[in-house]
Amino acid sequence: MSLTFHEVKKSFDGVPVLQGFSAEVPLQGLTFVVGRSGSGKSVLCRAAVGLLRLDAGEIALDGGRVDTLPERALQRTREQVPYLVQSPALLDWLTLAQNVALPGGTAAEVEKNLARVGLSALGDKRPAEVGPGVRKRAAIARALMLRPRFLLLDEPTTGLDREAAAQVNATLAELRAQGLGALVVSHDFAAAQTFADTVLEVHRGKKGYHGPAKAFRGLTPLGVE
Amino acid sequence: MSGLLGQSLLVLRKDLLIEWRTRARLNALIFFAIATLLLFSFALGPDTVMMRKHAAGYLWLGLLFSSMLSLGESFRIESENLAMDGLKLIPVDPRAIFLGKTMGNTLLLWLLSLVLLPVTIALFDVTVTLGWPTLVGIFLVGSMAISAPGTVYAAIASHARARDVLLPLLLFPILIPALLAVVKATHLVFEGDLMDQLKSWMRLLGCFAIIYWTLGFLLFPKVLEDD
Repeated sequence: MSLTFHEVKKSFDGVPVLQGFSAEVPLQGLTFVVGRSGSGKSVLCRAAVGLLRLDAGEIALDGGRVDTLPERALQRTREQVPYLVQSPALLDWLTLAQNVALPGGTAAEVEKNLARVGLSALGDKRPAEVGPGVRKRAAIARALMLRPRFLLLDEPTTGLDREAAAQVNATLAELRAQGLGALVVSHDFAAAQTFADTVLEVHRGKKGYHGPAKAFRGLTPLGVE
Repeated sequence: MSGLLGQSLLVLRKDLLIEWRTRARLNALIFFAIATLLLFSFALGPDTVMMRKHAAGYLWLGLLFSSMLSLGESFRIESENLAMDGLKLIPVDPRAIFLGKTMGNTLLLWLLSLVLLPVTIALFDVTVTLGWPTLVGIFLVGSMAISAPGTVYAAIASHARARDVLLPLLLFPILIPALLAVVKATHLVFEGDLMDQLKSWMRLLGCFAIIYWTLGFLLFPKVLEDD
């Protein structure tokens, strides 16, 4: 059970971003993807759910290619492995509970998933009435409605104050304890060392460090391959 | 929000709410369409017989030109802040995105046609001979016929650098049968239908709308794939 990237290449306007990236991410535990800005961390997530098409290489979920799936089939992949972009993308005229209910499901499921992210008391608030950390957690609850096998999160704590970031990280740790893993694109090395099981470094479009978080000592210096 | 219809209504509501909050698109459309009708009436001069004879054509050309602004704008709002990705990731069915967008474009064009009607009556001195419900129905089916292919081509053109030029180039040739039918039908409502031709033109217009709504529904996932 893994998400596999094999010799993945992607360029934008002739500028190579991913240059033969290969890695196997198990669909369990917390894997933090780290790397310098522009190294292609988010591109990996976007390509994994079909928002970007690869120039070359393969991405597979449990051995089945996902990078070549047509748009309608990608819906199933996006349900199994929801991708949460940096912005929580909540609809501002709906309450948090109504936003969480968007993918479908019963009121009991909505309540349960709001509780899983610690938002039971805030379901009737609108996104504008709560802080950015709560909005992020509501977006996670919405993804949970899809009964996912794994989550992809793009910089879930960027732009949050320390307390809100800690709550989001604690939510991810809690979900891991419940058996739901995630791949988290992050700039927060302290959080990576505290919460991650595994760190995957993207260095110049290729795999850098990939191993236990405890042994991760920081980014590979530029110029070192 | 489960099911295709629920998702379609969500997209429709989102688009209408954005439109209502800014009103930028609707205001621009109304002024552009009125200006177009005024220019047509000035170009024809004071010949009232000629003006009445061609009123339906000018009304629909005004609507068609305005629809280019409206259709292009409906996808521009999705490219801001990667909103289209947000819809895909909820995940909303691509066919629901087509239905919601097309319903929104239809509604906007239909409302615009209703706003333009009194202007047309005042400028071109036409009378509604066959009754208002028939005319309002023609406006609705005509708006549906323009919106379905318009939504598909607006989505395709939204990725191009010259999208403002590309959309009319792609869309106008496709719309010729619909334009012909809706202009003839509107003309008959204005001038009277002595030869009982209205049903034939409405049948053509209805078939065109059904074909393009079906094609759009089936092909739109492929259009989104090429994002």
